[in-house]
Amino acid sequence: MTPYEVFFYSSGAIEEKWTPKDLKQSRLNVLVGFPLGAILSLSIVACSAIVLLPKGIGVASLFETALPVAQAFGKIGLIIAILGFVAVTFGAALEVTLSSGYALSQFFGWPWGKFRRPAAASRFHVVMILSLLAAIGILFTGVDPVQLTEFSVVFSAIALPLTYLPILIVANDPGYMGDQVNGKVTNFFGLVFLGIVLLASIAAIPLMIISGAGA
Amino acid sequence: MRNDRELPAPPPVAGRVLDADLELLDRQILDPDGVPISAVDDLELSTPADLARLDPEHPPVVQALLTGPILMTRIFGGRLPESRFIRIPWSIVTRVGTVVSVGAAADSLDASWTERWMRDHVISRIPGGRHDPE
Repeated sequence: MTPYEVFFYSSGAIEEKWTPKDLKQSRLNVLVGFPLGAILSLSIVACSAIVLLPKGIGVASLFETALPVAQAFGKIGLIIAILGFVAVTFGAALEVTLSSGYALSQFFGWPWGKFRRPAAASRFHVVMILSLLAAIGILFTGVDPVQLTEFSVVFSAIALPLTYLPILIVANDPGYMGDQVNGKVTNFFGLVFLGIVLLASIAAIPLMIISGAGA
Repeated sequence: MRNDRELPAPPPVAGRVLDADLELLDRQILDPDGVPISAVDDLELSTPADLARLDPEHPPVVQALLTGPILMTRIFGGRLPESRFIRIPWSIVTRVGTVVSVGAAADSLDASWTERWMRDHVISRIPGGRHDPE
């Protein structure tokens, strides 16, 4: 539900011309895929805590998170982990680049999307080129990428209700949703999650200060 | 000879009532092919500057959808001078729903000149810039 993911996911749905049939697969994604991702992230945290913490290794770069894998499965495990890193970081780079294009283009009402020729969505593509250059520029400043990621995750947690609430409102608007408009049960869970999201948003900065941002 | 001034005011026109703030402002404008043109950044109304003395028999009428470089005024407040806005006349609006549809192609409107400028000066010059998507 972080802002960039909302833009990426919903815009992708329009680009791939989803129909009500695709809702089933999307629900499966949300109910199975997202918890799976959460379990995997938690296991990375757990492995780092069990393996790296006793040896006094603080994770300062991405590849140090692969050390527990190397210890458990040797060279083959490390190769698989590296392949995974390349796939995941490359995918994430594409995702955030596209997402910045979607967000700005849709705010201003410009043509957007990879289902158009680049020339037919010129400002969208210019925004993506510029954000890619800006991102490379930020890396060249020598800033610690791990710390930068931590800060951006915290700030996207703060922004969570700002993307969640509008979606909840639109989900209740028959003008957009037609016969798929939210029912009472969905809205009940929607409001429960709004509470959780609000809590996460309010707790983000105090938690960051108390935990020293993982330092 | 009839004098128009003596005729009573016409009854209210039947039809849909739009809340301009809710249903027009910030909405996406699409051309007949579904190509996005802009968002509705502001509206041009035919009304005297003195809004306090509105004449109920001559209510303000939406003359045009306005679009312009509104980012800074959105963030920091204030209002763009009228000259910075580009008009899309209300007469070409064909439908108001979740989006505002107009009856003119995006490329024929001034409102998307930056799109054409970026296309002609930047994106078209990049190899593959005019290729069809996969």
